[in-house]
Amino acid sequence: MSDQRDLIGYDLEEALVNLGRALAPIAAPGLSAAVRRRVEVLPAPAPARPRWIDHLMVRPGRPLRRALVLAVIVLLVLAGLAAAIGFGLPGLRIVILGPDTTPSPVATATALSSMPAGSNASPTVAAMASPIPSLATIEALGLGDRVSLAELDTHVSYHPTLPSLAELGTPIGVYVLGAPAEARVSAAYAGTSAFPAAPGAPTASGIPVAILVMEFPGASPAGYLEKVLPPGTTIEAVTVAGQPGFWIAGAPHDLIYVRTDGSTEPDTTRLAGNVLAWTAGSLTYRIEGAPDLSAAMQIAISMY
Amino acid sequence: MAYEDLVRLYQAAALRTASLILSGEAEAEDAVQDAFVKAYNGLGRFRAGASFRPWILRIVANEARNRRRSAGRRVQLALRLAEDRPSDGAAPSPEAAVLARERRAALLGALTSLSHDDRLVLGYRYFLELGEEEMAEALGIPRGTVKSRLSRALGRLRIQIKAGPPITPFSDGEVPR
Repeated sequence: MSDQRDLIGYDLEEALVNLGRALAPIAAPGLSAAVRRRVEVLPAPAPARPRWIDHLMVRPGRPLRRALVLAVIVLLVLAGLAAAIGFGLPGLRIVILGPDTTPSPVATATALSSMPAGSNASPTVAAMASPIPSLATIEALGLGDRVSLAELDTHVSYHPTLPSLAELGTPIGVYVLGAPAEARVSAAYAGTSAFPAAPGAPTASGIPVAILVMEFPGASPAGYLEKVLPPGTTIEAVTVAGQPGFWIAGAPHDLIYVRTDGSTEPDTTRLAGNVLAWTAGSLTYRIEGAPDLSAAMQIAISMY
Repeated sequence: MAYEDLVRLYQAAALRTASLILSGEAEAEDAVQDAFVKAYNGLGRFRAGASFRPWILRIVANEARNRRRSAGRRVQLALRLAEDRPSDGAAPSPEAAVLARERRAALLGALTSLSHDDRLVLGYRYFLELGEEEMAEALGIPRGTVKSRLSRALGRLRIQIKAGPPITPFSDGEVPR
């Protein structure tokens, strides 16, 4: 935002932002239901096409054999792709599978093997196909280097905040991944009576982890998290301390950390299917493992 | 995940976009509803992994433009000021609140007199606070031209402000940071 004062006597850009915040919201409580009723009677939309498929698409004048090979690849890929649509917060991209999603392992494996280097769309396919591994320790989840709570600030150039909720206690493990300016901080909390660990949850120092709190710069060039939601997972727009966020609940889902160069790193963090994610300022926060939204909110609010 | 959830997530931004072009909240709501249905039909054209927001906003803006064209009349925008501005911290005095409201009303009046293309550029940037890339996608223009479009729209807004009734300058304290 410019601090310069205009010839008109005030900062026009600032005044416009101010005006935008003073505008009355348009209440349209029945809008989403009305759209649902209208699309319910329509045929299911055609599957979305990731960008990299564009590169594979047949162009006029190409030799027929190549066209046929590409067409087969595209068909196989499309068979494995759902009507995937993505949206997200800065630093967190969420990909949702459509209602008729039944990715077949064969098709997704094909898609995976035909994934071009540098693609940032195809990790979606990889994540859909990957089975949930049973990981014994939280360290095996690729959260980065374990650091002590006392020295956390020395590893991160922004100021990470952790929950202050008494029921949660102090983290049993704190991890930092990446350079200080774009570091992702993860804090693992042991299961308690208020926040029990899920059966088979990964452990830190031999203790089952119930809650995993992560934060990272959302606008970071380091990339973003891509989340694939299988059928049975619900997503709800929520507000956390006035900031936009999502509550993703239901079946466990996979994460892929995608760098800006398109390379990916599987982020196999998973304690349970429930994640509260939101942004505040330039940071994105995620709380994983809370049994329900109100519990997740309790933890989130205690970070302020 | 139902499409309805997606509508809920983006309907506020979509309605704000429509309100930059159309008169009447009901008309804006109708345009947004049609736009979401069209978007559903066009999901196959949506690039997976891309940002959904600028994509749907572009569809909304097109829908609103078409409706406005067919209406063929000068519109009073569906944009209006909230009755009571949410508190941004220290409560202003009643006089200051009235003054601030008058200033905003005057700025809104100046904005209304611009073309809807200018309003869209300004609305995307300052009301929806879209970034350059999202603006480019939502407006369907190259990213490199976003800044110049914004700058020209601001210039025309300044002209309208100068031509209109005087607006008392905002004080620094009014804008929450």
